[in-house]
Amino acid sequence: MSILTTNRLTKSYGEFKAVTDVNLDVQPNTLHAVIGPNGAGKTTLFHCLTGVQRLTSGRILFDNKEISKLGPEKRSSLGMSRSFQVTSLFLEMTVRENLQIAALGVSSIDGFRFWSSSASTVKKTAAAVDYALETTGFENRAETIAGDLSHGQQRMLEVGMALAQQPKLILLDEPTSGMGVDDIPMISDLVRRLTKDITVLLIEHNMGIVLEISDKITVMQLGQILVEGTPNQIKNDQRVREAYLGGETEDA
Amino acid sequence: MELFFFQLLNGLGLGVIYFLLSVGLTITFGLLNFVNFAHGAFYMVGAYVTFVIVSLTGNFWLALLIAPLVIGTLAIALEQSVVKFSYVLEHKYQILVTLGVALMLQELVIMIWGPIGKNVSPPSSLAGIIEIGDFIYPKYRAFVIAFSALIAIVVWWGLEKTKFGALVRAGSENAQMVGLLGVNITRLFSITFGLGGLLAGLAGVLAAPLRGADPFMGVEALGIAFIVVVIGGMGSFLGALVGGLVVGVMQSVMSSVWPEGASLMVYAAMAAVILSRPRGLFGRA
Amino acid sequence: MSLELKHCPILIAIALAAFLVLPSISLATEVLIFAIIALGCSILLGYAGLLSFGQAIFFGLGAYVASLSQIHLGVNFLVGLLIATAAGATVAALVGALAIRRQGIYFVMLTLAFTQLAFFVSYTLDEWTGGDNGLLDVPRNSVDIFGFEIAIDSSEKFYAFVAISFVLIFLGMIRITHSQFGRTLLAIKQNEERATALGYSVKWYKVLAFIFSGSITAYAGGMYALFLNFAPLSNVELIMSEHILIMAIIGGTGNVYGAVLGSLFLVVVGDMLSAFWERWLFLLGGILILTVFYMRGGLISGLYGVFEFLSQKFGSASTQKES
Ligand SMILES: Nc1ncnc2c1ncn2[C@@H]1O[C@H](COP(=O)(O)OP(=O)(O)OP(=O)(O)O)[C@@H](O)[C@H]1O
Ligand SMILES: [Mg+2]
Repeated sequence: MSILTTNRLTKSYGEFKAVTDVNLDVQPNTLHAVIGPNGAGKTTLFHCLTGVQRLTSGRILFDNKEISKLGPEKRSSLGMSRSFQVTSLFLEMTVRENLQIAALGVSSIDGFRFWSSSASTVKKTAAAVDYALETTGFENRAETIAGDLSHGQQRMLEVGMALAQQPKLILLDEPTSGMGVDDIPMISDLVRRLTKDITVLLIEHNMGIVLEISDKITVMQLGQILVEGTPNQIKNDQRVREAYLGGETEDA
Repeated sequence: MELFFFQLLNGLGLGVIYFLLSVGLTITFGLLNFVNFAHGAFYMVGAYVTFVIVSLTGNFWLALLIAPLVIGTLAIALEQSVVKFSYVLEHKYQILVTLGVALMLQELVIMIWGPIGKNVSPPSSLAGIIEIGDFIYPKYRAFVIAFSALIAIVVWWGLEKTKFGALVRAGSENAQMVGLLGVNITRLFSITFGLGGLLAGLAGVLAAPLRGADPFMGVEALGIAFIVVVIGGMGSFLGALVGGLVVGVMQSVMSSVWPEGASLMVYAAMAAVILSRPRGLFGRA
Repeated sequence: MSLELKHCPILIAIALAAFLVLPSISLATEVLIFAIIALGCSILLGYAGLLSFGQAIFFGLGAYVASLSQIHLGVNFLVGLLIATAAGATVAALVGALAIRRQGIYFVMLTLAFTQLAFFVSYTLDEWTGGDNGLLDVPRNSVDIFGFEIAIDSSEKFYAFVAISFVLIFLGMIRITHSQFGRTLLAIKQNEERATALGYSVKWYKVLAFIFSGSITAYAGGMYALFLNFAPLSNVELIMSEHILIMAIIGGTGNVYGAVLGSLFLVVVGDMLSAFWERWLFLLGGILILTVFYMRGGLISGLYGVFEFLSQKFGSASTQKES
C-alpha cells in the first residue's frame, strides 16, 4: 500500500515544462530520495505535492485521497509537511514559538482563537513541540530568536518545523544545503531515524548520504524520471553515471 | 452628436495630460518597483511655477520652457536628499517616505500661496476658438492635444531609439541583469526619476490654464495617475498612453452624462482592473 | 485574567490623566477617540503587516451610520453606535476580502481606490449624508432603561462615556493581540509563504484582522460624530486615511500603547501648533519621514528605550510593561 502516488504529474511555467509526466510511488515508512542535477524539477515537484504550486495536469493520491485540487493548508492537515530548500522561518520569533506556530498549523481552527490567551493553545502543542525540540536537538536553545541562529541551526529548525506538525509524510528539500560538513551527519542520522515512525521524501545533492541511507531513489532529469531503483541499482546504472555522477562534480 | 464629439476631444486633451502625468510614475515603478506618492506633487508644483512665471512676465511660453526644468531639478534634488535612502526599505516604508514628501510640498505651497487656488490665463495667441466648418473648439485645448502628442512621440523615441531608453527598458525588464552589465542602476533610476518629475511638471504647466493651480490638485493627480498606471499596466509606456486616454475620455464623457459619478466610475474601473487583471492592459506577466 | 488586571489600571490612568492634564475636555475626548482609531490602523499594520489607506472608509461609515440610525430610526446613542460597529465590521470584511486578493503595492492601491469610492459615494448620496455640507445636527438620543434615563448631555458625561469605551476597547484588543490569533497574525506578517505551507488559511486571518480594525474604527467614528454633533464629508477623505496612518506610525505600531501616543501627539501637538502656525502639517510630513528612517518603532519604542535606560541606571526592579 503506497502512501503517496502521482499519476502523470506535470507542471508548466508558461511554455516551459518544469515537471513532465512524473509517476511517483512512495511506500510507507521508507526513505525515498529524489535526486538529479540542478534545475531537474525536484523542488517544483515538491511544490506541486504540497500545493504551493498548482499542477498543470495529473493526479496526486495521498493516503488514498485525491489531493491534487486541495490548497496547501488542507494538505498539511491531512498529514503532509515539508521543509524548504531556502530557509523559511519566522525570524523574529523564538525557536519554540516557531515550532508552536508550525504545530498549530495542522488544526484548522486553533489559530483563529482570538479571545483565549495563547498560553492555553500552547499547552495543546506542548507534546509536538517537545518532540520536535528533542529530535532536532534544540532543547537548550528553545528560547533563542530564530534570526540569531547560525545558518546550520536554521537549517535544522527548518526540518524541525515540519516535524512539529507530526506528519505521516515529511518532504525535505535539501536539508543539508549550505551546512558545514560537521553538521551533515546530524541530519542524515535524524532522517534515517524518522522512518521508524513516518515516511520521508528527501531531495539531496550529497550522493554519499543518499546512497547510504535511502531505501529507494528516483533520479530526475529535465523534469522527467530518468531511473528509479535501490541505491545499488542506481549506483551501477549507466545512464545515471552519464547524466549525473559522471563528469563534473555536482554541488549546490 | 456635436456635444459628444466636443467631449471626446476634451477627453483626449485630458488624456494626453494624464499620460504625461503618469509616464514617469510607471517607468520608475518598472525600474525599481518603486511607488512614488509624491508624484502628484510634482504636477501641482508645476502648475504653481507656471502661475508665478506667467504673473511675473506674462509669458506662458517661458513657463512652458522653464517650469518643467525646475520640477525636474526639484525631483532629482528630492531623490538625492531623501528618497534614495528608502530604496533598501520595504515597499510600505517607501510609500510612507514619499507620502511625507508629498505632504511637505503641499503644505509648503499653501504657506507660500495660500489655500485658495490661483488662475492662470492661456497665452493670448491661444485665446479664442478655432472653427472647422460648424465645429468650434477652444484654441488652447487644441494646442494641448497637439503639443502633448508631440511630447509623447519624443518620449517614445527616447525610450525606443536612444541608448538611455534601451537601458531603461532593459532595466525595467530585469534590473539585476542591467546591474550586472556594469550600469549603475541607481543612477539610471535617479535620472529617470528626474525625467518623470519633469514630465509630471509639464503636465502641470499644460493643465494650469485649464483648471488653475491649487494645493490639492496634487493628491487628485496622484489618484488619477494610479488609475492610469493600474489600467494600463505598471511599467508600461504604452499602458500609460492608452490608460491616460481611456481615463481622460471616460471622465470627460461621463461628466456630461452623470457628473457626480465621473470620479466614482474611474475608481471603480481601477478596482475592477486590479481584481480581474492585475497586470493591466499592457503590463508584463 | 492577569492580562486585564495588569492593563486595566494603566488604561484608566491614561483616561484620567488625559482628563486632568490636558487643557480642555474636548481635547481629551478627541485624544481618546483617535487613540481607538489609531489602534484600528495599528492592528492592521503592526500585526497583519497590511498598509491600508482604507481606514477613512470605516471612520466615515461609523459616523454616518451612528448618526443616521439615531435620526431616522430614533434609536438611542448606544444602539446607534452598535449598529455603526456592525456596519463597520461588515464593510471591513468586504473591503478586506477584496483588497487582500492582491499583494504589495496593488493591495495599497486597492485600499486607496476603495476610499475614493467611499468618498464619491458619500458625496453623491447627499440626501443622506448632506454631501459637501456634511450631516448636521447629529443627536445623542438618550438611553432609557425601565424609565431610568442615561443621557450624555454634558461634555463631562460624554467624556466619561468615551473613556469607558476607550478602556474596554483597548482591553479587548490587548486580549486579541495576546491570543493565538494575534500570534498567528504576527507569524503571517513575518513569513506569509511559510504560514501558508504550514496550513494557515492566510486569507481568512487577514479578513478577521480587517473586521476587528473596521469595527473599532467605525465605533470611534460614531463617537466622533456624536462628539461634534456633525458628520462632515471630510471623514471619508483620503487625507483622513493618511492622517490615521501617520498617527499610528508615529506612535508606533505593534504595541497598543503606541496608538495612544500617536493620537496624543497628533491631536495635542496639532492643537497647540495650529493655534499659531496653521501649516504645521508640513512638520508632520517631516516627522513621518524621520520616523521611518530613524525610529521605525515609533514614539512608543523611544519611550521604552527611556524606561529601560532609567531602570538600568537606578537599578530598580524593572517596571517593564510589554504590549
Ligand atoms: N516560478 C518559476 N517560474 C518559471 N520557471 C521556474 C520557476 N520555478 C522554477 N523554474 C524552473 O523550473 C526548472 C526546475 O526548477 P527546480 O527548482 O524545480 O529545480 P531543482 O531540481 O530543485 O534544482 P536545484 O537542484 O537547483 O534545487 C528550472 O529550470 C527553473 O528555472
Ligand atoms: Mg531545488
